[in-house]
Amino acid sequence: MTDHPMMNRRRVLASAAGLGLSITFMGRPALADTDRALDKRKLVVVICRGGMDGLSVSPPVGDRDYQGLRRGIALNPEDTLKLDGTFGLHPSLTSVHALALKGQARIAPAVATPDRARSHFEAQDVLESGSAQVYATTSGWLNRALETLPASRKAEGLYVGATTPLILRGKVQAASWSPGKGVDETARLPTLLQDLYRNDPLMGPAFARGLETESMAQAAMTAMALPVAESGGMAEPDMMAPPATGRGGREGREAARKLGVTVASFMVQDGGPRIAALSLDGWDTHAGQMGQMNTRLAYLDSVLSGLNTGLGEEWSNTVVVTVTEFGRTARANGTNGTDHGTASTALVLGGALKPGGIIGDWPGLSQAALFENRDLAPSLDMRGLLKGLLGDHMGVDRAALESKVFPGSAAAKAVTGLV
Amino acid sequence: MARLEQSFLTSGGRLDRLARTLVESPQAWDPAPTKFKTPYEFLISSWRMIGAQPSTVNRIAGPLIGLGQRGFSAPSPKGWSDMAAEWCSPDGLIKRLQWSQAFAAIVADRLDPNLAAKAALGERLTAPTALAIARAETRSEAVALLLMSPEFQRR
Repeated sequence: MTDHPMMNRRRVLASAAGLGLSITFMGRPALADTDRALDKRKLVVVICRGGMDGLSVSPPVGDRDYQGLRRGIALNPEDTLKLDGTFGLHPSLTSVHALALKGQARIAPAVATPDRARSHFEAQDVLESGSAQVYATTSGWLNRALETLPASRKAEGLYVGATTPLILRGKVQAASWSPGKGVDETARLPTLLQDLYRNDPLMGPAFARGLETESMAQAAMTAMALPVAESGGMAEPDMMAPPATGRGGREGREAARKLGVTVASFMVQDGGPRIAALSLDGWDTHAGQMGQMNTRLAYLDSVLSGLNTGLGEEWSNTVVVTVTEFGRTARANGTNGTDHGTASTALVLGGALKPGGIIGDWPGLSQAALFENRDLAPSLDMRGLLKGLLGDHMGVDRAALESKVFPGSAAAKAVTGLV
Repeated sequence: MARLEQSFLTSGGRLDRLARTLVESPQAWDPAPTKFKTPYEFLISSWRMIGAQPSTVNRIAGPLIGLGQRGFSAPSPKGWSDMAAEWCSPDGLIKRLQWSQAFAAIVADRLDPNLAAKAALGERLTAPTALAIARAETRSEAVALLLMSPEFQRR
């Protein structure tokens, strides 16, 4: 993480983007009479970029090999937030733990994508494209999932950030928004530009969606009494700079919480997005992992807490899942960090979730159990988890899940019964 | 692509032939701009349009962050995407508009927008854009329209 002392002047909301966070929304229900229950269902995908260390997220403190492998970066059992006889949660994940106690948060402790190359960008490609191999397709699984929804529940997309992440690229046009100065849709210049873009198949729809989303953002901000960033941001070099570490932690947590609340405020609006994807960067903890994980997981916890409170009653219709491109090595390295690995933890949260124990099996950390004698071995294919959630929770057609959303994933059986 | 493939195969892999085929392909001589500018290209071409250079790197580095292309942080060793699908996003366009308005407000007084449009775009300047610029209420609106025009956003 980069140190940025200028951060303290930033507006809380604008600084949310600086956490390395960007939000991606998708989905808008049509006014259909049928499938009322399904029409309320909401899904939030949090992409933790950089390779999040699952053994820090949900330390298996009851596993006999945990302390020996982790040495200097092992957590004491009494410091973790207890889940069961084997697992605790990282001490920064207080909100997640509170939800877990209510049966509204579970862990999948050994989940992985089919990619085994341990390269960030290749693994992120596989994670977001939903394909079995790297660079197999140029569209994202979340976009394809929306494509398959029936016409009565036709969905549109919305994300926050100035570029489209792969997970959302595809046939369904996504809208986007990020913190910054608002643009008045009815002002003269946007109107003139819409006219100029009238025959432009690329810029026309994108600009129209951008303006529409701005209106929605203003409405959401007003409804939630959130500060609308006053400055244009573009003129301010550090608008999306990372927050200061250490002392900036509280400000960062507050910004992260507000970001979660803001995402929620979009989602609870009539006709608002029912699917959102959100990125949180900075998980590549090769050195000094303990401090970084304290900060990063506190941000993640704050975003999730913000979603929970912001969604209010709609929390009961929501599932949130955190995913990462790969986990990290089971053993600590020489710089109190960990290197690129394989399986990691996925957090699954939401009021729609059925209470239960861990999702998938725990392969254990014995030397024989490790993948290639170095990584936590995957016991669950990420696509199986996602297929289960998309099918059971969002009502995506099963056949379409196999043929279109996650093609070639037949061996990764959908994890059903989670909601 | 098929033309290049054919050239490569029939010439037994001669790269000089391949280069010649590339240059001689009709697409290389089509004056219509087809690539959507990356944020970097957009910012640099805007500065070139006014014939000036930014006084500090922050005048480029800051906006680049807001436009989604933070300096020296390409997402992979392949570098930045050159796909329109990535850059021509709804929020990306809104952010370009915001930057263009701020930039135009500062530089517009030094320019004749009509001449600037002709100088920057030449034959690529379309009638609707030229008309919109000519009809603008203020110089700064005219410059913002030029920067945000479909032809200026492409190369």
